[in-house]
Amino acid sequence: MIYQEKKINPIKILPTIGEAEVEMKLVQLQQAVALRNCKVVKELTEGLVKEEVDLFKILNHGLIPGMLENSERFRRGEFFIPELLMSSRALKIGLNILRPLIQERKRGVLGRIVIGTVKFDLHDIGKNLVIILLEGNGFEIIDLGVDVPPEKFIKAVEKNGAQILAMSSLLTSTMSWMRSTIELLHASGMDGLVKTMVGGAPVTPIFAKNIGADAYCREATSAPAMAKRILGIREDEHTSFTK
Amino acid sequence: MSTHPLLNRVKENPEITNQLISYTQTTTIPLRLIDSKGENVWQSDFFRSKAHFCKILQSGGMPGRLCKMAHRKAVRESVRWGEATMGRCCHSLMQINAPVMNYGKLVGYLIASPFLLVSPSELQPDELTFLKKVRTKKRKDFEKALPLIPIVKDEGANRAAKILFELADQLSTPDLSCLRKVREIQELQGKIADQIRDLKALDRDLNPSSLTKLSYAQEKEIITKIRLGDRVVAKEMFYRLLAILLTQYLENFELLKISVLELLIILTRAAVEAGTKIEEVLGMKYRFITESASIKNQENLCIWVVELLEKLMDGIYQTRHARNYQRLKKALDFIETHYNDPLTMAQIAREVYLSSSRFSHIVKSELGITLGDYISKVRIDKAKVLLKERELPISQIALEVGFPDQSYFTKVFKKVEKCTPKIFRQNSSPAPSVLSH
Repeated sequence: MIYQEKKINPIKILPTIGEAEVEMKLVQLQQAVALRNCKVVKELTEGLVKEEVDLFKILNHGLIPGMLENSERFRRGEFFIPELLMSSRALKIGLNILRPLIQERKRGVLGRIVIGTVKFDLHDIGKNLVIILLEGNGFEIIDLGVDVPPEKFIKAVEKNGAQILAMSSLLTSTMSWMRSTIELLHASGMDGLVKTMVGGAPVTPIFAKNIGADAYCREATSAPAMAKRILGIREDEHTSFTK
Repeated sequence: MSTHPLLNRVKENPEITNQLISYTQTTTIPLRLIDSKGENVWQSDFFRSKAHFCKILQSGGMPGRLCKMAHRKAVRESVRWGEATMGRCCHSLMQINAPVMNYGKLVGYLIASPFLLVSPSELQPDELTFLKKVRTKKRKDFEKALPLIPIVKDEGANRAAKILFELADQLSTPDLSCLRKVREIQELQGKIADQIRDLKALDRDLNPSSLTKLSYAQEKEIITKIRLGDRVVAKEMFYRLLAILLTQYLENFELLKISVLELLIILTRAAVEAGTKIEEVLGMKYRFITESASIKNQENLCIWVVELLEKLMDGIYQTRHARNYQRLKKALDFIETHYNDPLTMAQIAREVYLSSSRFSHIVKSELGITLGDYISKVRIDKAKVLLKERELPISQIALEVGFPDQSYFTKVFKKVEKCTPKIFRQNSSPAPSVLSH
């Protein structure tokens, strides 16, 4: 990927555009998010919506990959907080265009998910991306933020009647709070009604299995598919929002 | 309770005041020093002007209480991250803050705000919602005040955060070393998490047997690197070894501690072989045992063991013949780039201007293995990557990594890896990641 500030030509609205052109625009959108160029993000997203491109496709192949690229650069220490804030700002501009349309076109809610980063862990970049992806796929999200103790998770699941409890941890030192939370869920007798989903850089499939989680997400982008799988929903359900 | 004497010093000591003033001059961001009650102790001239942005905003229905709450929340975060934190103070305006501490107790904080990351004209409608709260009468003042807010972009904002932490460090007693320690622990944990992430990419399931195998292989390799004095790579490998151990014994601290100690003992042996004085190593081993008893959690164990590794490598360096060392490094770099050519001892020795016999002696004494074994190891490592990542026939892989034919390749591979290339490839093929209970 090229990171140089590249000038992207303003798009021309044609009556219909071919698939190749859509692909190209999605790549441009991805770059615009990565380059934190809000103006171009806005123009391209609006253009793609006007062309009636699948909303999920705009989200999943345009906006999200751009943001993923930047969070990866943040992880590698090439980017710092200001760059990250500017990228999420660019992402938000695109999302603000898509959100009302997704709301308008979706047929009911696939499921309700309570999500948060476990106790003593303050990392939220990955979790926030997962939230966007899940919302984009038709799930309703209750975000508890970071540093969430087990009791708070359980209370939120109970109060909102959630079907999935999703937890993220970015440190090996906080991972055991996932176990504590799942244990508390079992103790509260809700384990039959609620499925659990875990993820984060240091979380391994074996660990997830050992603590009794129902699903393990290898990366942020696999979260929607996993959520559908554990709820027994067909893969293609709600992934398409075209009219 | 009044403001802590530590903060009052600022008013009395012109030198400190000058430092605070020069912060604003270099970064262009207005600065405030606030005590633990939320009262201003010192502020930049920016806040003295009647028409400054924050004042207009507050008079227009945004109570100062909200700002104070935002400050407090931010300072709590910066104590937990162990560094200056950057975030939004109200909607689109940015702030950086750093805590001032007296022997680890928070007595106040420095707040650098307001500033913008983009020019006001680029702000999107939803970022300007706070405008609605400004009374219509005040709108004009407000429009005048908005352009006075400094715009500090990516690099500049980062630098401003770093300098602010240094400034808070100077104001604190004795300094902010307690926070630096927090930061160090966080950074190490981050590195270990990254290593686990890489391990997952390498081996999808990370089952116990493959982890054990991997840790043996890494141990051997790190010993070579330590002997070689390749500090940077040795450290990276050490993080990886810690990641493997943590993945294995995450929930059993005692076992984790024992394996870490075991690893240290192995490394000290390498250090002795590399020339560290035996008395020094014995002293270190004594430290392992006495100090490790008091370590009660994983984070402290990791940071402790990384410090020990540094010391161990310091010991090796002091006793090293620097010249042999550089030559060896050059030779190994040559092998790394020419592994697929038919390499001979004479050829490599020529590269580093040594006779074959002298070179062979240096290799054996510094690496602990023969040159032939080392070259085979490099070739097998390259072959392993190809076996995993590419669908090439084994005969072709053998040629690509520098073996003359497949049967010789298989023979060497079996000797090093204890299995045939074919079985190795089968074992490393990706498996599904769904959990079955």
